[in-house]
Amino acid sequence: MTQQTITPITTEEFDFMSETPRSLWGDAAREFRRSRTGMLGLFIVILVLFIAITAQWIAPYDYAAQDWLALRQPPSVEHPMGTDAVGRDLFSRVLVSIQTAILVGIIVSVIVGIVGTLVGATAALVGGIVDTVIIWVMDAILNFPTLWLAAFVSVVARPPISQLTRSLYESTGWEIWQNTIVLDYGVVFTVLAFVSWAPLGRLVRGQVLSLREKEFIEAQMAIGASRWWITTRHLIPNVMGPMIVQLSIGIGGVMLAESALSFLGIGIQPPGASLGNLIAIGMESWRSDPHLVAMPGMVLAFIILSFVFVGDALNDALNPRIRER
Amino acid sequence: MLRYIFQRILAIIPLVLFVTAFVFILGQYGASDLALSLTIQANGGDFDAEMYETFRNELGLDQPVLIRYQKFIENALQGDFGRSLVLPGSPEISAMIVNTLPISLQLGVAALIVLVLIAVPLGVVAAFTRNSLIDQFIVTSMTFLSAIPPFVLAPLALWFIVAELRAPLIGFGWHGFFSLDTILPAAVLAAAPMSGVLRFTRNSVIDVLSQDYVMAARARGLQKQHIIIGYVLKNAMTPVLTWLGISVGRLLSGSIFVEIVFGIPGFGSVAVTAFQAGDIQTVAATTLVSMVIIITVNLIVDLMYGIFDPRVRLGS
Repeated sequence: MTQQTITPITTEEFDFMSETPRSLWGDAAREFRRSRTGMLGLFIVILVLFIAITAQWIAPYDYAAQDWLALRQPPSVEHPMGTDAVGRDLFSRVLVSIQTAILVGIIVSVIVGIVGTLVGATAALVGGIVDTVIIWVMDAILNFPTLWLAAFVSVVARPPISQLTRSLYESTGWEIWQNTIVLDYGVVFTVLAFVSWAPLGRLVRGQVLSLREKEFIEAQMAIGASRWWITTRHLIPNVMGPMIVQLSIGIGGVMLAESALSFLGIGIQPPGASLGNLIAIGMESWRSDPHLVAMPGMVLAFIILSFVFVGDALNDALNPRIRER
Repeated sequence: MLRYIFQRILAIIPLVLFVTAFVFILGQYGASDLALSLTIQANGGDFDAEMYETFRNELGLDQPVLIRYQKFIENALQGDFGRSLVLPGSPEISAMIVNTLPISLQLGVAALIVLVLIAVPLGVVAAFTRNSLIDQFIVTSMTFLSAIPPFVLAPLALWFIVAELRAPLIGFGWHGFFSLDTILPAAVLAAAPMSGVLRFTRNSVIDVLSQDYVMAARARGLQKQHIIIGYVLKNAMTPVLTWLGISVGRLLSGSIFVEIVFGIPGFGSVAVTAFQAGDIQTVAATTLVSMVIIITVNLIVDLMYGIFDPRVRLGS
């Protein structure tokens, strides 16, 4: 009888074989790194997040500081983006506005994520008349042009929210409720969340509906898992992928909507900072000082674009698709 | 065919009901706040119960909800939206809409023309040179262009064309559909939906190109142009049509900004004045009208789809 020798594998082979991550997130991260636009977008997003956190410290001048010896200056070394008609440094104002944009983007996305998932999952799991009504509501919202609906709702929402802040001030006595910026933020959060939850709700509903039919869910029910367990341990994690893609592309839309509302004068107003506001102010002198419009405008466009790129790259990374022929 | 038309119309009835109910509810909510603020304004900062009642009656808030809804729909169908209590001079809202809507419609059509003339050929080119540098360049630059918000693109385009190139495309005010001044606002308006239409056209053409009947046509030796025009374009265009219909909503949103920047007295600028003044009546009226436009356009696109693609008609 011949001796069978067992060939031990070398450490290099062992490392190689266990190197490649096999989880969904590991695969996705690797795929994401392949997309040049995605990596570029991610770089800008991280940079923007950093600015949002540190804006107050890295801004060279104060947001409202006026230098009457430097009115309407084009971009220069002292003022990298120039100054406006009353001598305020545009660069500092842009930095602080980025803070606003990111704050609005993130908070609204969180609200939309929670509300959209809850409503969508409820519609899919409960079914029946509840599902039909929820679909009608989502369809009605989705058919409206987004910015128009946002403007409409903000006109309607402003008086009640201002009453709310007034009564909050009366009941707690905190000075902060007197601040108009809080009112503006309240209106913007409410309006944008209201307008943006429907796409996510529809997505989650579709996902849960299709997941419900899959065998592994049936298997879970067969071994007696509770509905709660199935929902939290299986349904929600599987919805996370498309949900994250939708949210990251959606952040761009939210920031665009916020700046559009501020541009029109019904969003974040001075003394609050917003890119839309800066653009509106700059519009008055578009001919003589185009940098007052171009700088905040291009910054806004770049930020939105970066989020879109990241979302696109995430989409490609998270969805294993048959390559185009 | 008639049955299909009937089906589509039936399908949008709940949508129309819900949308009008939506606008109505929001409008009523705003109306009671409006009555309050008008009272306070007219009374020099004080609340007067009598005046409050008068305003409420004026805004129709004294009647039960369903009756109000019925009156709202009745009046809307007749085109009567009442008088705006907020705007100076209390103009009739329907007069404002009737005067400005044709201008915006013309601008919208001009924008659609620009959109189709630019995005569709580029989409076809991108599809044919798929994954090459040309393709990537077209898609990326179009994505970039569409990501620039319309209220940024408008002044930048204005500055670039007028101040730098000194071209006679001033674009301020409205000089009619066929004037040179319409090109710039229409182009800026078309910029936002352009990347969507481009991508859709590109994907649609790529889809069609991979179909068997195209391969069969090539095998039969048909000339390339003949294949492109006869088979590829015809079949690729139908989904694009749907997307164009969807884009009308974005055009409406964009017209708000384009009209302000270019000083065009259109429907969008009426809406903006109303938004800024907190005039809920005009806001509700304009929103209702724009929703009617969008739903009508989508319905027409659906019907056209039914005409072009028999598979849709005969049920799936």
